[in-house]
Amino acid sequence: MISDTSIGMEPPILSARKLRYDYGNGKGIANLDLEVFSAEVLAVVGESGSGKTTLLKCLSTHLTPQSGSLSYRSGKGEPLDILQLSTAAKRELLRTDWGFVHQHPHLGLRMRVSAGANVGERLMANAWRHYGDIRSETGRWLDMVEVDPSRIDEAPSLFSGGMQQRLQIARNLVTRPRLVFMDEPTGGLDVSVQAKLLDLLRRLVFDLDLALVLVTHDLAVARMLADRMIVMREGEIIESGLTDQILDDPQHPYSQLLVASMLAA
Amino acid sequence: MSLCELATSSPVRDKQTARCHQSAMVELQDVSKAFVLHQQGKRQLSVLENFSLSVAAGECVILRGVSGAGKSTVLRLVYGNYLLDSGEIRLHMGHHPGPFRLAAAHPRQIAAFRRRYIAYVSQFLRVVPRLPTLQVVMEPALRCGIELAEAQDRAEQLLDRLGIGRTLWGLPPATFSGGEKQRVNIARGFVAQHPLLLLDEPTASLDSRNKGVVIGLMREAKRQGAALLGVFHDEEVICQIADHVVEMEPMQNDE
Repeated sequence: MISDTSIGMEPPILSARKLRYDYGNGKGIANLDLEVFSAEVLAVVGESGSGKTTLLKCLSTHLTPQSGSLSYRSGKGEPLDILQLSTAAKRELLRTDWGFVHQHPHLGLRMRVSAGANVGERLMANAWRHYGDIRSETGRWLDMVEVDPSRIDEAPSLFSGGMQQRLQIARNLVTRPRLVFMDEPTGGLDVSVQAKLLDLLRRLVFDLDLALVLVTHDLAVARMLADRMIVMREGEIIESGLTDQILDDPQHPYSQLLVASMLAA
Repeated sequence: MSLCELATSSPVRDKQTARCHQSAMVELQDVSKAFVLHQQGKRQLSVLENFSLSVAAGECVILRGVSGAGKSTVLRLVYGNYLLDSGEIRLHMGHHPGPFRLAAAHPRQIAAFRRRYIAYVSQFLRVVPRLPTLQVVMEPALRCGIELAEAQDRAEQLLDRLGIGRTLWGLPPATFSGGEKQRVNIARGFVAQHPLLLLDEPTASLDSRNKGVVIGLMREAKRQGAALLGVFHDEEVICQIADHVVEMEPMQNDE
């Protein structure tokens, strides 16, 4: 029974029920229930092989679950049955309402076209037509993610790893998506670059009111960014709750082990 | 022993429900909390058993006892980063018709409720590395919907009062001294003027001037009708702000 009716009660933006994806060897995810809400960061943690990335790919339509349901509430408030959408409709969603930031920037960027085109392309997919507008909005976003706007015409292959990752984030967020998936966005970056990226992400989530599903193995990153957290093991969610509750008072033996093995999160 | 004349209730496991009055903002009723340490052969560590407490608007209740008595556990249960095993925690805040029942709330609701109503002030500052100090302090106010200009005004006043020089406001606190970080954290705790303040020894190791500033801030919060629940070891601070002291003792746990 929930007595406070005025806060935190809007319906979820994404809702998964009994999702199952089996790679054919018993590995994957099973029986997975999950809800994501607007204006929140949901961290998905667990060790390698726990199914985090598989879950993210199923939620973002990169993999089609063998059973279960997945419902997205569109900007107009209509529920969309994601698993029933055509391939074209899914791609349209991923270009407009949704974003996906890969761990490796080269998977999310087109490395041979300019930085500006990487960002501008998403704007064009969202019916921006005026070249000057696209260029100035792109420049504004490069500045926001701390990529020198004078490098707008350079190919991202000339950028450092941290810059490429920030460019990938700009590419995904420039169209103000409502739901963004990120797979280890700070993995592989050195500590000072990570800090820059975390600061940026936090600001953007807060300013843009977006829902962010963040896969990470770094509990310190989860504590800094996420309101809620789920802990995965062997393809199942073994614990979910407030991030600081799971980190400060983990209930499941495996969560306790995970938290205990971290350096001060 | 208390240096000042305060109503001191002990032992803790006596129910204090008799003290519950109409204006209670925080109510803990028969709360029990134990930790099961799976890594240590499922050792069970009981910290609280049938613990009850209430804090009214404008009141300051201090938890006192040796370390391990469960003082911080009480604060964390109220903040929701510890789960309670049994009993109930009710928070009466804002314009909501009924109490907010922590144990029954969805984590998302707890997060939203915290942002709006609860400040947890500890000695330790934990923020994103690169944010400038002024932003760090303003943030809780902005996140509960206070206008930018007002949030900035409040943050500047707090930093001034706590003796953080203007030259530091544009810098991230990561490079500050321990005492400066602690004061930034205190400013962050008071900026939103939340109706419930959970205070986990925020004055520990502060010099007497700054301790005085914090006592002043806590008094102002009480006057504005906030409920204060805190852990303090400093008798001088306790004398100056406590309306009620709860003595706590560690539970007996078999090794």
